[in-house]
Amino acid sequence: MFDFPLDVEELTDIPAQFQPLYARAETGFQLVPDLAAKLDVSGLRSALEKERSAAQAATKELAGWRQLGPDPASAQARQAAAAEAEARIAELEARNQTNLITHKATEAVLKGNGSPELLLPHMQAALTVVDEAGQSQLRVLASDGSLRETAEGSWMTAEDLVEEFRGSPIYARAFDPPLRRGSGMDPAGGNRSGGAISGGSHWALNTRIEDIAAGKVTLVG
Amino acid sequence: MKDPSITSLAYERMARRWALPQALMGGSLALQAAGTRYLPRHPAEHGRTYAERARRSVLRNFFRRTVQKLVGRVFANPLIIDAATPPALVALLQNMDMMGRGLNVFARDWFEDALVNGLSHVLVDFPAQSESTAGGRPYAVHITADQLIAAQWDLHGEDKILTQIRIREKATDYQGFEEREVAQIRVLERDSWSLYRADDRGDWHLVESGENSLGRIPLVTLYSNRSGFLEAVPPLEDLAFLNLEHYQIRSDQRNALNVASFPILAASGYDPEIDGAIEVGPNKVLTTTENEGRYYYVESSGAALAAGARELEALETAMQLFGLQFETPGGGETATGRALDAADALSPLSAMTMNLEDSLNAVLALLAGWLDIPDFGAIGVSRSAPGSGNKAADMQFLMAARQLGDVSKEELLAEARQRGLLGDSLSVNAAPGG
Repeated sequence: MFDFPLDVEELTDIPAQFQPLYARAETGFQLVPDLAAKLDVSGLRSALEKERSAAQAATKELAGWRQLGPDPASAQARQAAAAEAEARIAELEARNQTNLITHKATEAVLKGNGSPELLLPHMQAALTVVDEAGQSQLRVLASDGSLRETAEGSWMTAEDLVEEFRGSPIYARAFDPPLRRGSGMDPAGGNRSGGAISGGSHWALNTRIEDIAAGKVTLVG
Repeated sequence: MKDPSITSLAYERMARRWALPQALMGGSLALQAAGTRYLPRHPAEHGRTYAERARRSVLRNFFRRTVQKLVGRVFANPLIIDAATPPALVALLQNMDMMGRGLNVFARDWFEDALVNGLSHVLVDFPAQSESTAGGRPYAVHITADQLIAAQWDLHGEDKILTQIRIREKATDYQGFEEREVAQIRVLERDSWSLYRADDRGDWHLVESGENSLGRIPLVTLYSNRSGFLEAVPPLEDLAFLNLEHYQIRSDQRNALNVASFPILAASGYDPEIDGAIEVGPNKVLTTTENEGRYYYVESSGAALAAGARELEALETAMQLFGLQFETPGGGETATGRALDAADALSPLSAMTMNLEDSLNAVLALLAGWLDIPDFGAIGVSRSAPGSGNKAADMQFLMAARQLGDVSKEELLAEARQRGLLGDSLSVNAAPGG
């Protein structure tokens, strides 16, 4: 490929077919200005250098990005999603612990014939959830934040706490009196229900009408 | 048809032996009511003669007297309520059965029934009606030995857990001013109860049932002479037979004395057609037409009466010794005592006292169980202190020991209680205001 030098001393240095593109100058011959301007590639070279530098920077940047992920945008999105998910998980875990405490505390209170409305706030304040071998376990907190144990050395349960509340003069009032039912045997060996009375006796009917209504006395005849 | 009134084999075995002690506790009227069972009719004895003899026979009741004496000995001092017993329970003990009987009176009756029959029971029950449950309280019902007609149980290791008991009881039906006693059977199981009544044809019908929220059968048995689980032998059975023998011999003796006490006027050579009617009285003359004829009185020589009296006396001595040796440890063994094998009965009273204490504490535990009271204290039976018998001297000695620091304050008070110098359970002897 011919390089079209801008100045030559002799025209014979130029191939014959390109000699018309040269004109006599003060010293020697010069490429015609229009063509000379078109063949000037110094700008192009600097642009190329710039592009090359940009490409290298881009490649470098791309490698950096590639280290982060296949796609910076999606990686960023994923990172954002992951952060959001972690926050959500933490929130759910906290909510799960709260629900677990509430559930177990309610269950223990109801089982102990206590009032959940009155006792739950105190139960919730005294209970916590710990992770043991990947399992969530309910524990009772002492006033200093440590975990409470029973006299036998095992971890105190929600049921134990309910029993402790029942024995307390303050919290005992939050418990229903236990429903007790025996056979109601008459100590005199008779029938406590009062037996039966004659339906034909108006006097008997009038005097024991409340017992009849309560089912304590049966009518015969 | 389901018949809850069927009695258990154990009950049948025991009931045969309860009859005599219970009849003796009923006294002369009970023995007379038993007819020929306890006062047999002699061969060829005329019915009217027997009836007259039976009517005149009176029981000299050594058996009942011995029972009362032994019971009195155990309850010479009031029962001791531990200071740790919660006031709520002490209040229950003041009216054990909701009929006004305090702990001491209730326990005394319970012990007496056990002493007569060999065992006796208490059911620690709770009202059945749910609407009155809020104000309800547990109470004790004395179930006499003959009321508990059957019991079933399961074995849990070495423990026998009652699964069902059947109690015979009586109810009163009121019809206006009239009343009628009705037999009924109460069946208690661990989680439920039911009540059966017999109709006029004798068929049993369920009339009431409900829940037993305690989850176990709250029955406590007091044994005085245990022979097995819920089985016992009357401890004074030998004395009962001696007393029966005394009653029978005394009846014959009384009859013989009755006959012997009246001399019979006899006559020989007397011809009513010639001599006319005999008239006996002042200013009357008895004559006969026969030369050898005579009038005379026929009288018993008294030999048989004396023999009968001696036999009665021997029996009375034997019975007195039986009771005495039963209650007095270390009493001298006599020939009569050996015959009665009364030496075997030296320690039972103290064993019975210990059983009574255990059973009373079991009742206390059940009362506390109904109320969910974990710490219920204790009931103690005051025992004769092994002292000199001189309370003043004993206390002087104890006070000196206390001053020297050899005994604690609690020990001193306990010793004083044992000697009856401190009656700390008087508060539970009767219901408030009763």
